[in-house]
Amino acid sequence: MIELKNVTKEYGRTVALNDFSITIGQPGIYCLLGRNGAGKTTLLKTIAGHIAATSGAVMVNGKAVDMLAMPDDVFFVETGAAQFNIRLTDLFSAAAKINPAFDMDFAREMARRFDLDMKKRFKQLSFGMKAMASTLIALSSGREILILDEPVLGFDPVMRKVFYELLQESCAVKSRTVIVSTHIIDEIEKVAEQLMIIDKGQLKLYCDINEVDEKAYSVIGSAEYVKAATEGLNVIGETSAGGFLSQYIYDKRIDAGEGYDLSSLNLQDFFIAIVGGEKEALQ
Amino acid sequence: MKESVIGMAKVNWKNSKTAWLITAVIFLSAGVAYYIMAIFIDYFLGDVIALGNFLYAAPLFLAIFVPAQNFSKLMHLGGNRKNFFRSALITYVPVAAGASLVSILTHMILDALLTSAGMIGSSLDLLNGFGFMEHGSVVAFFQMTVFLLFVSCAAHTLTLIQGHWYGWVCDGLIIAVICVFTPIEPLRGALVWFWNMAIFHEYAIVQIVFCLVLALAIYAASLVPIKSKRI
Repeated sequence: MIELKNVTKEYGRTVALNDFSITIGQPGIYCLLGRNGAGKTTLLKTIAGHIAATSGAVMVNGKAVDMLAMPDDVFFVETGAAQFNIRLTDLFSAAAKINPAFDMDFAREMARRFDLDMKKRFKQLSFGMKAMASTLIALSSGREILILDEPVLGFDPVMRKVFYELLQESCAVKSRTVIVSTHIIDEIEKVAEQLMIIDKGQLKLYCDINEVDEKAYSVIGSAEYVKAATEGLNVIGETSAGGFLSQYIYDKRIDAGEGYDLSSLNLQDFFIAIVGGEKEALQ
Repeated sequence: MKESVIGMAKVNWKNSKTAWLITAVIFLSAGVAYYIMAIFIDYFLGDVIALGNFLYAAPLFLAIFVPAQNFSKLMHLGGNRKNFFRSALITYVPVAAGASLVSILTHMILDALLTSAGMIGSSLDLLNGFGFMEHGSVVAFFQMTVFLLFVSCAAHTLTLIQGHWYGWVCDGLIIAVICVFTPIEPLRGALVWFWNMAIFHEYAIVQIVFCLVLALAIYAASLVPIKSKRI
């Protein structure tokens, strides 16, 4: 279980996390979304003990996290992580020495599926392959909590597809919590179970990803009908053109009526409405 | 936890190529090459620096490159700072002991053989210079090991504190001690006392305990920079 209570992280005058609280209990794949500079990496590094919170408490499985007492249950993979420039087979062996529960068979099998040349040295790999090697080490580490910061950056579409399949397989093999931060929303929504949206250092939304399908939709029609239909609902954004208005709703479903239509809101549109919209009325 | 710490030490030994390479270059170019010339060319017949002394570079450079080069990479392989702190000491101890052991063996076997055969004049050896061999080879082994460990711990902590304000203060203090203490008679006495305790003390046990305590104290201080070191 991961618990953050009133965590604030400041870099000089910049507040990266602002009184941030969250509890991540159930194992599963968690999708972390946020705009650039929203505080995603800071949040992930704080959980992993890579950086220290300015104030507040971070707990992993009941143990307080700080930079010295980095949690043993967490494996954090960051973009562009430096590794020893040795053959991948040796790199995996090194990882196995540091992580006693390392699953070498799983690592080799995944490397084979990704066409990773185990004889190549780390620096001989492309950017995407380097990220893949680091991610494979994390997935094979046997840790209960995996934190992947932009893992698919540099992956081609085929690699991304295989990666998400492996992520699900890895979670099936061992019950674990995987937090994935990404900007490629339409792909992660297929595998993620929980959704976290962070904006300006604050948690904007934390819910089951199915809730978005159920509760997020847009109401489109002439402005006066739309406004009347959505009165009392949680409007998270809107756009208008001429006399027409589109309002993005995150609330209970209504039925289509005279003068307006309903349409589903996919996760990307929903995310944009929340963090990029003018309205910030999410409840 | 224990497995992970020892695993990290093993990874350090295997992936400290820069330290091993520098030691090998020094050992081969300054040590072995000079021995070969001394043996085969009469012109060089005279005193040579004992071959084993060049191996002392290994614990020194290892203690510089482990925190400087390996730290972040170990973290990216799933290590953590606390285990790094524990494993680095485990990394240095066998290397200090190994360098000390090989040095004593070359002193007792190779140097003695070449000297008695007249192939080299005599070997200049820190084991003699420090007076360790006066206590017998076994005691000398422990004396040299703890001294090298002290050097390793000092290098480790000094490497880690660079970039911090207290690192600059410490560098300044070391320079000040060398520059100020040496020319001033009473302060020079303090330096003499220090080196007497760390190296030249007539009782080997005093030197061993002093080096060990000092090494561990300096090493413990490295916890502060490790705690805040960027990954």
